[in-house]
Amino acid sequence: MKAHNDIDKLFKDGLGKPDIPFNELDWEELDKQLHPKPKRRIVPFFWWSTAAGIAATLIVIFLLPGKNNRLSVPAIVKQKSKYNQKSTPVNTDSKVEKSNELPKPIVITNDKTSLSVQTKKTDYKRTTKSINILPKENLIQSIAQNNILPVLPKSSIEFEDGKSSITFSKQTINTNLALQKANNSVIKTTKTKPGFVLAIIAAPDLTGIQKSGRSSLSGGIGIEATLMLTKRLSITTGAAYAKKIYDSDFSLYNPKSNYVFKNQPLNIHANCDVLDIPLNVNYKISGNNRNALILSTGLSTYLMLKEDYYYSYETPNSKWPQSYEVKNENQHYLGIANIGVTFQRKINSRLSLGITPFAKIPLTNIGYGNSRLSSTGVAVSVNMTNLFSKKENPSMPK
Amino acid sequence: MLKGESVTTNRDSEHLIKEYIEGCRRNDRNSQKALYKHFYSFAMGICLRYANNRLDAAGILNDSFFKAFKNISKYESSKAFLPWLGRIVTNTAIDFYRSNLKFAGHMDIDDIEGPAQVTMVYEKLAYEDLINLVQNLSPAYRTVFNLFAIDGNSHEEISELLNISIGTSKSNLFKARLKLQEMIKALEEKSYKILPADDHTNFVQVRLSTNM
Repeated sequence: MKAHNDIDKLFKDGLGKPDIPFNELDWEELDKQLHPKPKRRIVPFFWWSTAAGIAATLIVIFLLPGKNNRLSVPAIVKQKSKYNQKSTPVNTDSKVEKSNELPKPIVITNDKTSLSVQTKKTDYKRTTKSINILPKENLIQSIAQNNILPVLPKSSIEFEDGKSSITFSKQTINTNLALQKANNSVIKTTKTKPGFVLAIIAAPDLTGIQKSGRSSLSGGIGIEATLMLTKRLSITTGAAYAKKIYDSDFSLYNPKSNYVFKNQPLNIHANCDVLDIPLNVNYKISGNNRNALILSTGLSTYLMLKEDYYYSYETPNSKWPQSYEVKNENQHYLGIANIGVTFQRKINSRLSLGITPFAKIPLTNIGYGNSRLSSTGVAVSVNMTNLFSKKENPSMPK
Repeated sequence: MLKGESVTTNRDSEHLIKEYIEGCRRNDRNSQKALYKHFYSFAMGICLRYANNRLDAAGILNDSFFKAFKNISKYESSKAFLPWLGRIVTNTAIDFYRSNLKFAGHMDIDDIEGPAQVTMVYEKLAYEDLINLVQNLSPAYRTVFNLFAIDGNSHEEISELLNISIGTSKSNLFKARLKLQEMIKALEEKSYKILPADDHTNFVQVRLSTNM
């Protein structure tokens, strides 16, 4: 029996008062179970931003040209209805009457704002008047006189030919209106001839301090503008709002401060808001009409908007400093090297999607903690080409 | 039930724990972490004793704290928190191996016989060694040994806790002790073999290290 008592005592004494160092990873596991939502939110955040980017692009692309259509389509309908109303009961008399009421000249070219029902009325009358007089050549002449470039879409001309004189005239007026629009845009495109690409970017990444062996999910969203220098070479700049979240051992945290920790924290958890301003040079390695492979490299400026550092100790004590916040104190001009490879795929003439595995390598120590903060991740970008040209004039005669 | 365990209980820390618990009632993350950290060593100590390995222990630990945080409203603040938490941890640990414990009745009679009761003078074994020995026991033996020898339960209590007969509890305890003794003996023999290293320090050390 004595042996039994001995062995019980041995284990009881030996195991009764354990001194097991705290393991942060265990807590993180439990934290995930206790508070699952905030962890999940991070991922949808990027999905949302990506979705928002795509939605914004779609709006830009489809709504702006859509305005043209909307202007012209109801115009036709209204005119037609008027035409029907007025032509069916009658003959030339009524038309002449109406036209006499409003003897405005045909010059609609310069007042864009008057593209309303009223002007259409006048259009209508005007045209009914002019139909008989103006053959096609004259119309075109008048168009030319009115400072409209002869970029009549072929389709519209054919349309005119196929119609009776009255509808023909209306159609031409419509095309006139459309032409004005097209005309303006043509001028704009010539202004922005050097290819200009605007991109909305969502970039989730893993951020950590070099050699700490730990990294955590961070990320950013931003806008980038790319200027095509040659067919292959382009430069990019922009701005991205990024979160840099990381954990590190206290030994990798080296603030330039006189404060001495009486009790050294074990770990640092940092949460930084950063404005990342990249300046990159891109080289198109290969590509066809649809796909492109682009190598990008350059430097980023980090403006540290807000840095929060949380200290964790081996044994918690509320009297010891728990956290420290720094605002707008650290700027790292061109202090981070960027490298990335973009796989780009065209969706249509204006829109392309890009996926860019990238790395951000610190050239200096970053932030208040003077840590070698590096990020690797995958950026998803929605690129909008020729953003300011309304139409590419696909039917322009050669 | 959990006599003997003590965590630093000066007034400051008691006050702190009260604060943490209040925070936990509000499901405040920081308070939960603080409480978790404060009782980590204590709770993990129990888990390690009842588990096969550290990984299982960590699982039991987090399950226990999860239950504790979710049921923190049931904790009466007039009573001490430590035993309340300890009970949750122990129960969680028992639940963890419940399926294994079903086989507690099926034992080898051979194990009981045999020349066991050699009185040993145990060397001071480190925590790591002891925990390894306990973890090497089968869950059924280990659970009874833990409950009886370290956590101070009676066989009656154990039989209720584990839903086994008092006889099974006693025999499992007996076999657990036997196993532990064997393992300690083996450990000591091993250490004796290495002992000569102390006599011819340099030479043997080199040989040992090349062997390793």
